[in-house]
Amino acid sequence: MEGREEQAEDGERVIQSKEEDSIGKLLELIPLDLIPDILLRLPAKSAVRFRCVSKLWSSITTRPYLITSFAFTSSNRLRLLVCIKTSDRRRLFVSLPQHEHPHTSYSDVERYQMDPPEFDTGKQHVTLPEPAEFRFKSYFLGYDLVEDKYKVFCIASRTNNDPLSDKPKHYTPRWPMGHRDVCINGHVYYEARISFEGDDITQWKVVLVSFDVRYEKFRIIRKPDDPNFSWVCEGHDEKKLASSLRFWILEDEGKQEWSLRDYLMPFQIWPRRDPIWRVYFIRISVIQDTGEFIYVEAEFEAIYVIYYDPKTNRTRRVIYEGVEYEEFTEYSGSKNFKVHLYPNHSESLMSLEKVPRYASPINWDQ
Amino acid sequence: MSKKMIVLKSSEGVSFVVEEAVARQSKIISFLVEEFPDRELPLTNMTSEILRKTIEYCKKHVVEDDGGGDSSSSSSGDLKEWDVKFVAEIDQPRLMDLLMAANYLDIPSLLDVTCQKVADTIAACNDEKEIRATFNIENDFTEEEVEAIRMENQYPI
Repeated sequence: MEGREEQAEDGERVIQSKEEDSIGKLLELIPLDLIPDILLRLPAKSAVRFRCVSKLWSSITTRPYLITSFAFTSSNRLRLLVCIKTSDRRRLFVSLPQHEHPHTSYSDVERYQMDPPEFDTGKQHVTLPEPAEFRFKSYFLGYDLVEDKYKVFCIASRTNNDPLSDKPKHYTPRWPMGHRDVCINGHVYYEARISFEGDDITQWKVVLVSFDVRYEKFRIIRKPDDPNFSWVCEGHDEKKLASSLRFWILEDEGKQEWSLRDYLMPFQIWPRRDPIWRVYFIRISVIQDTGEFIYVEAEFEAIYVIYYDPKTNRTRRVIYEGVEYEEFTEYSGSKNFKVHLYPNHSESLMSLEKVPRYASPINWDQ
Repeated sequence: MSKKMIVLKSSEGVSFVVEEAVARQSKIISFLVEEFPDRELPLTNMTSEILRKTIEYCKKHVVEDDGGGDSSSSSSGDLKEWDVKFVAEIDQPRLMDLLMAANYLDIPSLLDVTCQKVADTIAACNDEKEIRATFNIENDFTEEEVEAIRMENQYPI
């Protein structure tokens, strides 16, 4: 009998402490300690809307801890941004979930729209300073893992080639402009052409440039000596009717070691026509965390996405409906719209208003 | 050889006889069973209706000791589907009660499902007014303050 009372008391104690937590005039239904739990499951758009609900909800969503947690959870549900370039230089962004709902078709498509030349983070805009005296510019976005900061760097030049082409006479790394950049582990990698003076003539070499976002240091990585480097190698396998794509993999940046690897593809290299959807896939990208290839095609009324894992030879097909053909044509002005892919996009609640901004000039003569 | 049963009592005093393995999905009950074996456990802040729902969920999610690991993994998709249906059938106030029951009894998977359902409900709201109405929250902002927040957090729709 005594034990029974103890037990009841114990239960009572737990309940009471629970009640204390959940008492709140403003929140009659959701216990306070569960709000962050719920909030972290929301898409950034709804989480921001959450801020207008009440002072209490607003204070919860603007806590630095919560913003960090949100960024962390959201890095586990990366999104694929499909950008449609319009004829009047506007861009329509469609944000799609990257990992969810395999083998399904559904109509949950989120839309974003932005104007150039602003830099877009989904809801906020920052106008970047522009070095006016230079005609040609390359912009790159990098992420500093240590400082947890995003940094944009710009290489400007008067000519289309490289910033210091009239200066050095010998082979020297000059930080060239480039394109096709990607940020991995705090380094931005991009492709560039550098010039060097040979025997009376200027020669060009295509290299990979690595930029350390934290220490602002450049490094030139030579591409492997492969006469077929820019060619896609296609090896037919009669039985599987599959093709393989050949990649040079940078194994060690310091030693500049490359290795050659072939990856099987779910369909022919060219034309990339999917046997199931009968859609031609032109754009291809790679998902960083899973190593999957993504093929995306925006058609009249839907966006087709194929995820292909070369390791397991598994293919996931997802159709995103709800994108009206008229919408595409309206934005792009023609039936041939330009589509760009930005995989591995993660949402954030961070406010750009409150982030300190500073420009860090790089001394070119270093 | 028969399975061990325990008794849970709702706030109305209704007793529910449950297999121990089923009830042990709650970390609190698991703890109480160790501390006070062979006793009836009173759950004074849970109505019979919510307790019945919670037990229904736990029965579905109990992992059989004698079952092979393969069978449970193959049915995980079915289980997810079942979860979705389970929370879809519950109305808003009862969903909140269930969420609080999951929180109180410390049943992580049920808390996960119910929190997700609440998040989905919020995500489905068109504006903050709809969120307030759905969750019965009093607006303590002035019009100007709401406008200021909205300006700061512009999000294209």
